[in-house]
Amino acid sequence: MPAGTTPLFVQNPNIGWSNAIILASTSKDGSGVTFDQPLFVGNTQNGSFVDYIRARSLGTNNQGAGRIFLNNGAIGGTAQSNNNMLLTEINLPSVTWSETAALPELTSYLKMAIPAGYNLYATVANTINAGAGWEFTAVGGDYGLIPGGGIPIFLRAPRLYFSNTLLTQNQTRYANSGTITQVFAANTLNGSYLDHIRAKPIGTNVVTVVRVFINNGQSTTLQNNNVLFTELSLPAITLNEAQAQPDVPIAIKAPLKPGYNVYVTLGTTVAAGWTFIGVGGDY
Amino acid sequence: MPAGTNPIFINRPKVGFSNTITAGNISKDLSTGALNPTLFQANTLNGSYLDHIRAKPLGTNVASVARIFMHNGAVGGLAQANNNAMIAEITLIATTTTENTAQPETILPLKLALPPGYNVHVLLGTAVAAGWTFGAFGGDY
Repeated sequence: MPAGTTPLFVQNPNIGWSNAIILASTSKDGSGVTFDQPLFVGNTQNGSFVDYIRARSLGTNNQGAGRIFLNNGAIGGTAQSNNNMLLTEINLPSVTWSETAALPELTSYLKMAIPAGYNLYATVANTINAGAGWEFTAVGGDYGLIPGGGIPIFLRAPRLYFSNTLLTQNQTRYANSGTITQVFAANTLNGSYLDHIRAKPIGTNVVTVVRVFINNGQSTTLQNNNVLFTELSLPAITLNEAQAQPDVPIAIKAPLKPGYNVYVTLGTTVAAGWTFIGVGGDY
Repeated sequence: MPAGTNPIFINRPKVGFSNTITAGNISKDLSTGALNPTLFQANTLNGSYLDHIRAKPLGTNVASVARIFMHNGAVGGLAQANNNAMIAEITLIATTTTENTAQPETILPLKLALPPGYNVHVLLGTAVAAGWTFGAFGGDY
């Protein structure tokens, strides 16, 4: 039997998140931890590619470390320490939550292919509990039909989405209640790629922060269905009919599974409001 | 038989990991002393590609060195020194356990194509307290 003579490419987007992690864990092998859910579920047939992991604070938190574990999917699950490997750690600084200034996310670039059935899990290490908690998101893709998709995938149609005007504050960390505004809807067949969101003021506004949430296509009222992906500070704006007001690009650069949606919220109520355009394409 | 006229690519990802290693073994040819489980096993049909190995500390450890060995799977096994070759070493710094700061992993790029049946092993030069875990990342041809 010859070795593979075509290169391997991902055939479907894959993105996962950990849910909020508040309780501290000192486990170095992933055993003894009650995981809410995997951070990333690898494709069970051909394996997956993990591009990067990002950590986001969900409020005021103590300094700690995020730990990412690779689990091989073997019998015994994550409770069996031999099934797990501590893959990487991410420094988590102490942070103070703000409704008017964005907190930066922390990104760990893995660029790693994982075999079929392997999964990633996350914990937060600390001597005390984190505080409001941290959430981890893993972004990648699944390899294709055996013996692996040999043709790269590209976007085949542009996709834009216009939001309504948003001016009401929503200070939830999960977008599971309050005023949320949709800014993108992934193609339901093959998924989509969201390149960026353009935020545009439509008049006088106080300074605020915009938070971008990815939703898995299920009800937004369940917090586990949403993840805070990024946030950005929006400047104070004064209405002017003689000068252009700047638009604010929010870089996303994320492949989205079929049916996934993207929503935004504002940290404070503003007067005139902001509109948002999701700019991307369909696979 | 003609030479290959097409490039070969990996067909599927492959990962191996060592679990926790604390014991020291000063062997330079892998033929003596207590050995750790195989870190990476090349595909027995077409061979495998080993891209890199990453070493993660699991707590407080003295300084040590990790030695990476290749074994060709030949008769006589690991006990036959001629079947093994030390291919790389990684300096492992002393580490102090902390729950508030990330400890860096050490990444050793290997970029090696392994023939069918070859294996990769790892030893620590000195015994350490909390241990290190090693992961080998690549794919099968």
